[in-house]
Amino acid sequence: MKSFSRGDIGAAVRSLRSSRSRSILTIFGIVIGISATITIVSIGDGIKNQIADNINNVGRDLIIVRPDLLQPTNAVSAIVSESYSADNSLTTNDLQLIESLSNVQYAAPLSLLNAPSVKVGNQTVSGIQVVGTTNDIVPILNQSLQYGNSFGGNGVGNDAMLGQGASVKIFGTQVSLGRNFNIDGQSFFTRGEFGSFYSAPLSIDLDFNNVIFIPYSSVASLQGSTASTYEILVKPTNPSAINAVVTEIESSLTEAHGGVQNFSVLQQKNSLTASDSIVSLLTNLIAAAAGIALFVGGIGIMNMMLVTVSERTGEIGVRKAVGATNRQILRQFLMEAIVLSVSGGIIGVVVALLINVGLRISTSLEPTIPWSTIVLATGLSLVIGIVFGLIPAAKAARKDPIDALRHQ
Amino acid sequence: MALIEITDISKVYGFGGATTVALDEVSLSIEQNEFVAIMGPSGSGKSTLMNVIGLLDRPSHGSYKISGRNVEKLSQNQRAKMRRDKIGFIFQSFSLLPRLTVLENVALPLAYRGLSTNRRIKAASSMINRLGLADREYYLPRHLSGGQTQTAAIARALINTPSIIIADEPTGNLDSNDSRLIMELLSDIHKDGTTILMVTHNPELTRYATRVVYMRDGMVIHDELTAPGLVAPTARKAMSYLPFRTEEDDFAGVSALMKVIPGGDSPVDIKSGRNRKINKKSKSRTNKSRRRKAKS
Repeated sequence: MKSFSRGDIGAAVRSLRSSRSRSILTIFGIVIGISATITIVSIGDGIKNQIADNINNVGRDLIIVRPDLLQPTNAVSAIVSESYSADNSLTTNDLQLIESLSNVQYAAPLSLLNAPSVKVGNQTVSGIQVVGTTNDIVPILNQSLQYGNSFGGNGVGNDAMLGQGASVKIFGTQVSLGRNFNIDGQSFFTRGEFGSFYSAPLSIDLDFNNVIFIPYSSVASLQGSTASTYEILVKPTNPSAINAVVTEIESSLTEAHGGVQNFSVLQQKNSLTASDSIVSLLTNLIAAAAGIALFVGGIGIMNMMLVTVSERTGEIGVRKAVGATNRQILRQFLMEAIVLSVSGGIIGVVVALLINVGLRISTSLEPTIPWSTIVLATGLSLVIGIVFGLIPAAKAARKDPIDALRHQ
Repeated sequence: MALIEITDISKVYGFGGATTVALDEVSLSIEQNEFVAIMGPSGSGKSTLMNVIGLLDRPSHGSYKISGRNVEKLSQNQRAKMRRDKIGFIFQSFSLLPRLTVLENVALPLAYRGLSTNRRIKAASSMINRLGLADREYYLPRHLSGGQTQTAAIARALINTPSIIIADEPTGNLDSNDSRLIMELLSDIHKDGTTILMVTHNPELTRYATRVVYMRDGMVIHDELTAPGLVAPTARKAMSYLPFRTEEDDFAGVSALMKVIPGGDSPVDIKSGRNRKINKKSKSRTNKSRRRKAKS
């Protein structure tokens, strides 16, 4: 019986070849469905991995303290609108309080300058953000300075640390140590430069590559008021102490704010969950659309098989006359549907792999196609072949041999 | 014990007023190694009888035994297996699968028995050899002559060494040369011990048969043994008039006449050209259908 099923596949391939263009078009439908589904899911997975890498790069033990108007639910829109200072509730006092806690190793404020005008000579440079912070930012971001040093003079002064992208945008070179530029009319010079930050697409964090870090206290003098801090990054002495530090920060800050908890203490791993859920939602939505394409491909198979069955009624009659049972006829036509859909599935996987390579070359995306997806897609195409091939095959099997013979 | 034993077999199609009786309590007993020619006008039930005997169709009533085994109530699957193992079909239209080579066509029934590809090809090849088509094994049916095609079909019918061969006008689509070839082949198969049932319109072909059964209106009206080499006596009588004029044709002729006779109960006015045209048309249609009937 085993050799018979191998012959089955051969026979199926041959009869599909006899209506070549129809078969190719039908297979094409499945190819589109399978490759679209795999590509979408792989892009989603890739983005999730990239965000996770980003976060792991900084360290999972990072704690973020934010004023309350930046809840994690609206974090994305808040950052997109770039207005953080409106009702700021974190102050220098809060920073000092956190620094004084026992298990805190580093604490750095991030104070975003509103609409900074960065100039070199008379030329304005756009697409750069200016952040006031302290020297603790270097160990917290887990990113060493590639050139130069961190702020001198206790974090007061006109020296700046530049991200790689910022340096390129301002000076057109990656190395700009000692060169001067203006922020809101005040002169600064490059004291240190970071190596390239790992950045992920769709990340809800700032892209530190395009940031100028200036001393925290300089922000106040630039803005003409106290520095408005949009978040304080904290690193505990020991990653295992993270939960203790979070509760400590919460209780002491609440006390300092007169019993009102108008801030949130987030852990980096939570933001991983948040971004993951957003990406998953998007991925699932688009994958569902791709799944519909696959479904339509399946209908294409059913359509073709129905036409084939009615075209080959005479053949069915002859086969039945020479002793084919209903089951054998069913198997023959089911096998044709399966050959169509599985070959579409395999080609679809290959196409998805090619698209994957193309995306990696032409964009910053790093879509991932695990083996399980390939197996799953092939299995899915098999299921589609069976599901959509069953009705036409059953129709063929049920044909009355006499009527079928008359059909020749 | 008779090979084929049918008793009071009826086959009824349709319901109520539209009921058609294709077989009307036919009883027939056919022994091993008979060569039975079945004759009769179109619609006489020959094909239905062949379908029932060939297990393609189930009788409405009556009993049917093959080698003593009751088969009238078998399931579709059981009938398929019985067809595969006991019965070989030869059709007027050859019925080879056009996309398969001669070899594959002949091997087809073996596939449904679950034989390995190797054994299938070996068996089919030796059968094709036996029937003298060895050099055509890898041809497609459309590249063969009519006689060769029917020979291949016969090879296919013989491949499972059936005890019954059912041939439905096997020479209907062949010229006289090929017809003789095929009939001699069937005759050889008969000599080897296979029982053959052959539907035919050609009285000449009864020369090969050992027995001739005449049917009309779903009934067996005459059943005679015949000497090999001679046209059966009743068939010879039929030869003089059967292909040209039947009672049915007479009826058709009368009704066609009624249409054109002025003053008949037909409302047609022959003076109007348009109607006359229509009349001509209907007349020619009648003629055509009559011719078609005579041909089939």
